[in-house]
Amino acid sequence: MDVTVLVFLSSGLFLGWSLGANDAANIFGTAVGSRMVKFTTAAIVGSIFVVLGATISGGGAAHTLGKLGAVNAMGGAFTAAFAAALTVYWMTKAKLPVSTSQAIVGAIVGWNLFAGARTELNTLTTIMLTWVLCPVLAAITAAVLFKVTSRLLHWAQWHLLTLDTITRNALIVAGAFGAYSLGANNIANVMGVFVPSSPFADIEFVGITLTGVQQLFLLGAIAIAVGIFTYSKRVMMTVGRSLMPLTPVAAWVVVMSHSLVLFLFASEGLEYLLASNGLPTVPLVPVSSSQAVVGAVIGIGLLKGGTQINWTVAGRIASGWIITPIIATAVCVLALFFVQNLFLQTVSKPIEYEVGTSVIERLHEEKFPVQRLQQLEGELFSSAAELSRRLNEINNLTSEQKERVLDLARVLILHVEIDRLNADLSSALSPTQLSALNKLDGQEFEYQWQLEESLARLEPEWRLLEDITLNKHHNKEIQSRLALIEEAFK
Amino acid sequence: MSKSANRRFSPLGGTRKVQNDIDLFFDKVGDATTLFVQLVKQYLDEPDSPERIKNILDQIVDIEKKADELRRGIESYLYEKTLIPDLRSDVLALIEEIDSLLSPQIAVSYALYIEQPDIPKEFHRGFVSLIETAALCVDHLLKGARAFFRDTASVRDHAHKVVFEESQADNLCTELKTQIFSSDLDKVEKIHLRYFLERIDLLANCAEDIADALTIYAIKRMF
Repeated sequence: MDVTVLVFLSSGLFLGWSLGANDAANIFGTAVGSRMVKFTTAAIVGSIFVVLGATISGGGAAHTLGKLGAVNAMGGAFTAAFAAALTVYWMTKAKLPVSTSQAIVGAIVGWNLFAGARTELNTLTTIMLTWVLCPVLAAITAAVLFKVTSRLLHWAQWHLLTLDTITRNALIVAGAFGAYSLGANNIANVMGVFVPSSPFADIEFVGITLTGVQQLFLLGAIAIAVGIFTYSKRVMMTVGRSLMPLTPVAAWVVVMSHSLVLFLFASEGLEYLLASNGLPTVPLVPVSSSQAVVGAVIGIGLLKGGTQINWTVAGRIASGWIITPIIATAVCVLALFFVQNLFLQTVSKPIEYEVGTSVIERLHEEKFPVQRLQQLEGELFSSAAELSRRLNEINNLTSEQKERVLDLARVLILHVEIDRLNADLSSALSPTQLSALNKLDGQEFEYQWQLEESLARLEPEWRLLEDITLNKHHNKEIQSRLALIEEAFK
Repeated sequence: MSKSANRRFSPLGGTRKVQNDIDLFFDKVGDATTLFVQLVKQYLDEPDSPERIKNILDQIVDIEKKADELRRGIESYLYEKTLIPDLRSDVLALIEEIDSLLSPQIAVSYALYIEQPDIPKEFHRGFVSLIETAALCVDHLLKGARAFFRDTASVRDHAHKVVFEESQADNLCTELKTQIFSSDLDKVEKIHLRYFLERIDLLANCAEDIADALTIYAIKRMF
């Protein structure tokens, strides 16, 4: 592997290390701090399950972060992760509540601003709503789980020492689940920005294929595990002794609620299961592990009458939802400026936009008032920001209409040359998909959607289904294949 | 069966043995209290049969030794295995305090055996009532202590019964003291009897103090 790749990844790895050092304390803090579980046990279990969670289920939340902004150059990804890490470090030092999730989102928005790329407002709003939803959901889960557990324990009437042994084992199991969920949900914070510019090719190891993204996540998860082993003990002792004076059973309820909520926000499998049973789903977004824990503690506090709750802490968390991303955005923009101009590194690859004839025709088919766009026809824009500015000058365009123009006008010239497909890539496609692609051999497309629509017209197996949760897996599969062939034909 | 054959895997580790030891410890304290009541009644019935008193006294001392051994074993195990870290100090304090109930019983038993006080017949009923009420306090306390380990919600009920019986013991003690000091006995005999009354009443008072502490421990043990 190129050494520069490792240098670029270093900021993500640092972010992973600090995540391991801090967030593992949310999972095992009470158990280790109160000496219910040995630190070594906690560290081994935590590390193994963080790695498993990140590698197996890390894709869902990373996908949402990718929608917020695709940092398309390694230099940019390095700087965004670095800016997030710096924000986390500063805010922790200033004793302000901080979350890696919020910092990385701020940093991605910072990159979007600097590179003139689009920040999908819908995705950003969804992510921010999720931050509020996470502690609320954790509070509700904890309150319900606490009530059920209390009833169960009252009914079981276990001896105090039996309960002690059961609680110890339950804390380890809950911790393992917590570590898995943390890995699955928060790996996107650590490595998500590197996904679009991932330097790794797929590898096969004892019959298991690890995709480039999975290798990236594995590396990030190892950094988290190193963080758990090297630095989390101190934090665990602090968390266990000062922040949460809970009984071991209540601590188990807190860890379980935290883990369930993080899992809910990370698992594509659970999302599908909920949707297929007609139940509501939540967006797969990286959320704050600390806030899930505080939410759960508040939930138990409210159940007990609410007198023990420190509302100042709750208020400080709410302020973090706004302050953290703003600081991270500012730090990222500043850092990108220096990395680009002082260290002469590529922090973003230009993405051009053009409202060409085919775009106008396509919009016309969608009953779009295209006459308003005539003045832009044929003009080349060097970034999404530039096109957005021009769109804003046009009166009476709704934000949805502007988003649609931006969707279609992104230039990506693709030459379909079947010879460019390597054996691996060809084998990733079904025979019918390949045959549809063969029919387009030699053709050139100016926009990504043109190729996608042509393929969909030729072969149902290339067709995206309606954008609902139940179809998410199918669509993601097609989109990843499209991304592979587009990469080959660029 | 060999020792190694006994060491089978158990998901609850060695805690089963400690649970049994704790139960056994409470059994011992209960047994000692029953014997103590028996000893006092024996003395009242046959004050001139010191060998019978000595026999019961030896049984009580033997039980106290066994209870001490159990207490030490429980304490070491809880510390060595760092069990119930949040409640360990409460559990150890509870066991120590309950163990301390044996001291006034042994002290009164020895004093009866050595000092052989003259207790006129008219006070016998009062003495028996007092000692039975004090023993009832210990019984309720032991029930409360057992409940602390399994059924926290009922600790309060048992503790309340201890408090009730203790006030009954206080009343009986005062009543008996009034009767004794208004009798024709010598001043020295009156003071001698008062010593025994106060020692027996002390048993009830100690049980009440432990019951108060137990109520707090139980609140802390609530999930």
